[in-house]
Amino acid sequence: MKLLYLEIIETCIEAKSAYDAFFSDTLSKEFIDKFSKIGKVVYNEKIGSTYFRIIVRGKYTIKGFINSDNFRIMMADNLDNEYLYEIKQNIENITKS
Amino acid sequence: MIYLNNTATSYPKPSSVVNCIGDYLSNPPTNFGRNTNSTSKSIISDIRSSVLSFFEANDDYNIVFTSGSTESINMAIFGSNLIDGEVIISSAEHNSVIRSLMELKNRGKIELKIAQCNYNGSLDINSVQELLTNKTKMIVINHISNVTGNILDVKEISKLAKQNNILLLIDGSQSSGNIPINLNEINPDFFAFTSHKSLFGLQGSGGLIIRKDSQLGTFKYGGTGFKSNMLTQPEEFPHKYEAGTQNIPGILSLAKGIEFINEIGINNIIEHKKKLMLQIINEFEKNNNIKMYYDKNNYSWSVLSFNIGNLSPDEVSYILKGGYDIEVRAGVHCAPLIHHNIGTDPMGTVRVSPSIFTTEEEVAVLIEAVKLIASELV
Repeated sequence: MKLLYLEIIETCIEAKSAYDAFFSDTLSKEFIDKFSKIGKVVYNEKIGSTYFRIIVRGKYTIKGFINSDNFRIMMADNLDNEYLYEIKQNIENITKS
Repeated sequence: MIYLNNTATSYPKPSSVVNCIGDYLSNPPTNFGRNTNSTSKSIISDIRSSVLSFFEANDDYNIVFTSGSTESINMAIFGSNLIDGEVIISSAEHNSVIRSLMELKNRGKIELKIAQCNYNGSLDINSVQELLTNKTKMIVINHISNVTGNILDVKEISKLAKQNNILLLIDGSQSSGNIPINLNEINPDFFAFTSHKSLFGLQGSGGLIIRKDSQLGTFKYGGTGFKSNMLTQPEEFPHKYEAGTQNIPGILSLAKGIEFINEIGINNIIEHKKKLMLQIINEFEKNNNIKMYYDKNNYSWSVLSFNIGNLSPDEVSYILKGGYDIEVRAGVHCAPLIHHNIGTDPMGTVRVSPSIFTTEEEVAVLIEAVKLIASELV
């Protein structure tokens, strides 16, 4: 599992800024579970193929669907570079482990 | 994919539209005034007539082909003599109108006045009337709101404009193809429309229907393939307004789109959408977590805005797309002012807009998904 690229979402107005992260494979529940080290992970299995949100309070929220190849990162403030670096590092750590 | 974003741009297109583009690109080009083939002139002339006929515009009107509503609106605004005057718009206007007029206002050329819609997005003509002064030079009004789907009373506003010798520009981006339009009856000075929404044509094409006595100045200058030795823009119609190479595929697609609507009958298209919209509205009304924004008394059945509890419209559209492959639109829909009126500022609404190709089964999937989101996430 690799993070392929990030795409800025220009139309999103629910966050300061937003990015879609695209992966080389589909997102599994096991993969998303590992984000619980950095934030609160919430699932709703009734919505789509299980809707998830990873809430890193005061920084950003990540949301998406299990079995999809991407998730959306919504920034709570303007520290995009810092938070994107943190997310990339976290993904690297997860995929290494 | 379930496509419910036809107010943004229509999909799918009728096969006749798709085929005409393939045919055009597969044959030697026709380019009005730029080659020896005179066929292009007669084809385009015929299309001018058929478009004017579709909008029931008689010999008092001409049509200028443009890149779409935005260019048409700019052409009417910047080509009219508005200097040192006042312009009235409604709060239902699209940014194509707002930003064009704000540019003139910021250059110190005009004063801009905004007639406010009420809480359900409808516009009382009195709110336009009370803004009139002896300096008012133009009224610009949306025919159908792209947010609420409400039909604005352009006929009454036209009477008001005529009584006061004021120019009237109607933005018909959403009304064209969604309701029967009789420009002879409405009697505007300018009517702007685009091809790619409910007229089923290509993006990048549209038109401005203008009264021949409107004294509209030239907005765009350049070659027309006509009187090429002249160093100034020819005064003859359509060369005065149509500088540059025409978008022939776009114009052909518009003609085919209109043919398609005429074959089916616009009233049958309205009935189909009404049935689908009622299917949605009746189900949404039962759910206390879903709020809709429209005026039952002046509704076009073409587009429906709603929100679910305190969920952001972006969140809802993201879930609909990611979880159910349903394409809708979320946000302010390039019409920021009306959201102050209907209470959806600054996040906007979720907007669904079916077409003649949308099925009851597709709408049923939307309804179930929205109901589930409302029960699970609110």
